[in-house]
Amino acid sequence: MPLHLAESGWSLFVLTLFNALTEGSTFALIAVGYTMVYGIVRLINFAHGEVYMVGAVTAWWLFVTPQVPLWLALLLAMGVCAALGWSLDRLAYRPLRNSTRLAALITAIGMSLILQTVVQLVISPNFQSFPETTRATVKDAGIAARAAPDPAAAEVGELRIGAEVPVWPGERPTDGWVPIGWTRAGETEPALAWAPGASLEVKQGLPAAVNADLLGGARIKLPLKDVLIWIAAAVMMTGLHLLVQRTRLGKAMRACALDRTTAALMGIDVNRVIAATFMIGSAMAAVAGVLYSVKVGGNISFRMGYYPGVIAFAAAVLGGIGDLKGALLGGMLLGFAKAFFATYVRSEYDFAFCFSVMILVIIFRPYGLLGRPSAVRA
Amino acid sequence: MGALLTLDGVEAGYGAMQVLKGVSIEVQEGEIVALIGANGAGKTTTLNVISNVVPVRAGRVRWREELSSGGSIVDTVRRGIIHVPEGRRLFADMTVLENLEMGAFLRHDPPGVRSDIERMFALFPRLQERQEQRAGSLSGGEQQMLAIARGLMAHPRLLLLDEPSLGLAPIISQQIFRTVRELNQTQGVTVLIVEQNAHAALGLAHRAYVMETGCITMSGPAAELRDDPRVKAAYLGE
Repeated sequence: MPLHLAESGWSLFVLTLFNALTEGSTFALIAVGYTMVYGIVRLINFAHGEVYMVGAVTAWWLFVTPQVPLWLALLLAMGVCAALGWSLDRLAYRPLRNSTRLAALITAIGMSLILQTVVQLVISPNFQSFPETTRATVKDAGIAARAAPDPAAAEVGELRIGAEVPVWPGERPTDGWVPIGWTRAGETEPALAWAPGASLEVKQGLPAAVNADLLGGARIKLPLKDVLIWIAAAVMMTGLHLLVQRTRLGKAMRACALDRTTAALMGIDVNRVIAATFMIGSAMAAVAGVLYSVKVGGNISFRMGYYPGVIAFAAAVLGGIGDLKGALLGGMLLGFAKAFFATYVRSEYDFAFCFSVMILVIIFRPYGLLGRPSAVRA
Repeated sequence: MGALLTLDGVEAGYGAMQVLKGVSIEVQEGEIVALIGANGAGKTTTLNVISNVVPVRAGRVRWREELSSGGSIVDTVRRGIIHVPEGRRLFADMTVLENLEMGAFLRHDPPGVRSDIERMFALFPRLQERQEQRAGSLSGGEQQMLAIARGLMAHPRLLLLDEPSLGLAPIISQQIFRTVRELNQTQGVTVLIVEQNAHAALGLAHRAYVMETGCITMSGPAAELRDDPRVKAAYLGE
């Protein structure tokens, strides 16, 4: 819904700025995966958006079902995505390394569809959401303590004061009318019930905002989940830069990007370098998927990787595909374009606007903002 | 003792094009062997087959009597077969120093690698001055020096040099050839060199093979080939 500047003013601008940074960080984290793989293999890995999706879905499932802590869910999702990236390369792309680029491209689109379908079958086609928390403590059981909401309930012992009950994903408990657990006869896991008059003390996973002192003494409320994404993006992009510039693996990656045959003549195992590239890019996409989903709360589904994937691809092209700094720049540029267009013009067309920006840049700089015409054969 | 490297009736090509039609050559330890011939005779393909860049279609390549064709490029590097490809093929966006480090990729002795880098700088002082520059910004002669130095960083047992004088001023080429001879004499590096400049190659090598359209047509001690009237007419312009 379009908003008007007159109604909103300064705070809307700041909010949009935060959104822009968050979207930009997310796009940049995904875009590095496209750009690193393209730099070395000259392949647009169209399944990369699905890696982002699998990261978010994995962390969501781990957080909601076995209820692992969020930080652990994030790390495990990174691991799962790294393994997924490795498998994509090993099973789908490596056998096609010496065939036409079109064959690999079509295979990438196929892998994207396969991953979407598998996730749809596994978690259902519905949207899922990241809960604030999965457990809450009963402060006052309300009427539920006196009368079970379901006649079939044999006991409501779960609702005694001080008991810990599960809070269902997507439900934000509020005092007085809360979804809480109760136990059916013969079952050990409590099931969902509405308990009027009950109140819960919810264990917050994350505080919504932190205060920060700005220069000049002004205080500002920073949205914590956004800040986490900014920090993650900054740390991971810096880490990746150092890895590529300083380490043996990073230098091998650069050598392979410049000239694969000659890299092999140095004794570099090109297939292993490519596998490592897929794994690193996929783990970064997982971070983007998990943190962005935690911020948004909902929208977790098999389709969630499509738009971020396509926009991040546009960001990589816009920045100069093959260039890591270009991926950061392109991601940020499109993040800002999307957020500001959505706030001040029309939110329905924000993706279309992102693509218009990309097309405009590509008309004037065909190799992207930081890209150079490559001397290496295509 | 058998030869260091043996090619035995090797056939190879690209797509429908057959380039090598049964090439047999031998390189003994400690030798400089030259492979001369016209453009398109298959000299570069021969080197590519030795380093497994191009697979053999028939025949075989043996390294110290052991089959080496059919493996990977990295396998040949592990054996000590170091290929300095035609056109230098430096990592243009990496620095001179990084290119030298890449040459030592399979070595796990950082102190040894560092002292070898110093050795390369002593051998090619120009590279030391430019160690932090992009390799792509070097002149042609400096690039060729870097390509050879990068190859030497791997401690080659056999150095495959493809057209090291291509595009270089005569004085620079001479310097490169002199360096190759020194490396051979002082460090015992075995060299198989492909050259269009037959005169220089025959002056440098102990033995040579003459190649024409995918076949070896003549071979023998370099000094003899230099005096052969057919070689003189075809390759030495006399």
